Amino acid sequence: MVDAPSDESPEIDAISGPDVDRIEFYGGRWTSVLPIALFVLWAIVQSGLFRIGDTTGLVAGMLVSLIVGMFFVKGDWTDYANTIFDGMTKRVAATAVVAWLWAGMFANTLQAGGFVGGLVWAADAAAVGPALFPAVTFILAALLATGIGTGYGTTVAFTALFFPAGILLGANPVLLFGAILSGAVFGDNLAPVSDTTIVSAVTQDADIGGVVASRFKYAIVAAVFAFAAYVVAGGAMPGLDISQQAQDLFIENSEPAGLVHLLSMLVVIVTAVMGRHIVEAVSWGLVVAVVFNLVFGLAPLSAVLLFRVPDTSVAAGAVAGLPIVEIVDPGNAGVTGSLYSGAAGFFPLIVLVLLIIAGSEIMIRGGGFAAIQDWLLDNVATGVRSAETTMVVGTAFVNSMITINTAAEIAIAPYIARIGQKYNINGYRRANILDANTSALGYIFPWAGGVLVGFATMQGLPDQYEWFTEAMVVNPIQVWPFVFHGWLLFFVFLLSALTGFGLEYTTDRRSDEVSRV
Amino acid sequence: MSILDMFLAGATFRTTTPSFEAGEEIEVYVTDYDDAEGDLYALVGETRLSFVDGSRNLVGCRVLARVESFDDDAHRGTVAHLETLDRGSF
Repeated sequence: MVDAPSDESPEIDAISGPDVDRIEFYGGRWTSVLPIALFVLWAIVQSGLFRIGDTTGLVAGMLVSLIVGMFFVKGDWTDYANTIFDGMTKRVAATAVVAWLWAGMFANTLQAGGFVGGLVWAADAAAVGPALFPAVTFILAALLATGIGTGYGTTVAFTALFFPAGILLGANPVLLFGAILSGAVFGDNLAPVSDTTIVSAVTQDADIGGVVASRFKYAIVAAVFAFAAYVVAGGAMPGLDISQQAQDLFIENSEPAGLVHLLSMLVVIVTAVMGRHIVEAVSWGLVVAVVFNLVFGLAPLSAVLLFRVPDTSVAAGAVAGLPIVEIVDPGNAGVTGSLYSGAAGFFPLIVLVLLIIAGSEIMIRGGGFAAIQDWLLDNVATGVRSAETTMVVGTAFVNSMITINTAAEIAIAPYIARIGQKYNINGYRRANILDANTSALGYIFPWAGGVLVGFATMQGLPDQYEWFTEAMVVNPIQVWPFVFHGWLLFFVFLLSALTGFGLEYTTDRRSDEVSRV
Repeated sequence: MSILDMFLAGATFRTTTPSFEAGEEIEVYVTDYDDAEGDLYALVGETRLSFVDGSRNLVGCRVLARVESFDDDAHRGTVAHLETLDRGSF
């Protein structure tokens, strides 16, 4: 006896997106793509053509783009303005902001504690030459990123700490930056605590553990080739000619004690892997790092936090003896230290991210995303192979357009779900396609969040090291061909889609669903 | 499923037209309703499974179904709806 579904099944609503205010644009729904498209154009011109890597410049670009977009809105502009607020207050924006602030404080505190000195000492002692250094950097960055789950945090820590060390040892700066970004891609893709991993699993109705296990086969293939590529390229690409004096000075000042901060990093990795919140994990790491700095005499408390109190202050006399207070001329008053500079370094990027998410929200509510989806389903995704290829290329495209990869992932996730479900492609497979390209493309192009985060960190290096000149800063436009793991991951998935490698159907096995968002 | 199996699952080149056997119970998302043929169906890859009884409001839902018949050459079969589990997240 067969049940009649129309009678027996529960009431099922028409499948549609969440009920939100729509925005009407002159020229139709495609016009809603305008703010993001203008911003991408601005980013290409500014960072690519003019070679200006100023993040605040991109903020101006996004502001202008949002204003221009408004002139194309039909009727009342209030909905458009409110959508900007709605986008900026999304949880994904807050998550990125919090992760960066914490990672920034942590990385700078490690830096104040001579972690680079420790690494230089270790690299010098282990005789890791300039040719091998990028490959080793890739592995270590991948390990850290897999542990803490934030590719951006890893990029910050490694650009602040490993990058200058590698340059002094004679590694090629562009290749080194590419290796750091590759490690970030690996971790973002595979880490169970990574925000992109979580989004990919939740949106495709799959459990996180199963998703991580099922994507290992792709990640490891790409990583093996990426490692080999860094070894080969490391031998072929020369480093900078840093004066011998600077190198000698640096190596003389290298301090094995700085290596205790490997334990600070381990604290973060272990607590994160144990399932603690990333804020908690990094906070513990920060506490341990500060304690190590003090106990081992690596850095005084004033290097972590210092109030430069003007001598004109009424409190100057009373607080003068405190370790975190320095009495200065009124002109030099301010707050300094690793907590301060670590957080402050991200302020422009934070504002940029909030505005970009606002722009993508406009694209969603204006129907631009739906327009893209309809076009894909009607014209491109007409068979299972072409559907998967569309998912791979579509995710790559959106991620190359939207700077912040988690935001891009959330935007494209409904398409992946719908196109995939049309052919009963398993949730694990859909989550893997979604996350691989989200992770990969978020660290390749000059306007990608991961690249900008590293670049922002790098711009602070000339202030920290006398020998580090502006010329050593890697321009974002230079690094894209050298993010080997990112490119390989993209091509592994493109080949998988074309050949059916790793393809599973919903009928093959059940993806245990995690709680829905 | 052992941990090793979880890591190795799917590490093959999968066909676009999977086969089924009569009597098999499967979970599928209902792909679409064909107005011309009056056919409610689920595509698994490019294998088409038609519901022997169903209505268009099931499109997009994940359902438990039993395979009633299957033609391996044509990659087509018929299934009976057993239970509606839920609908896709989007």
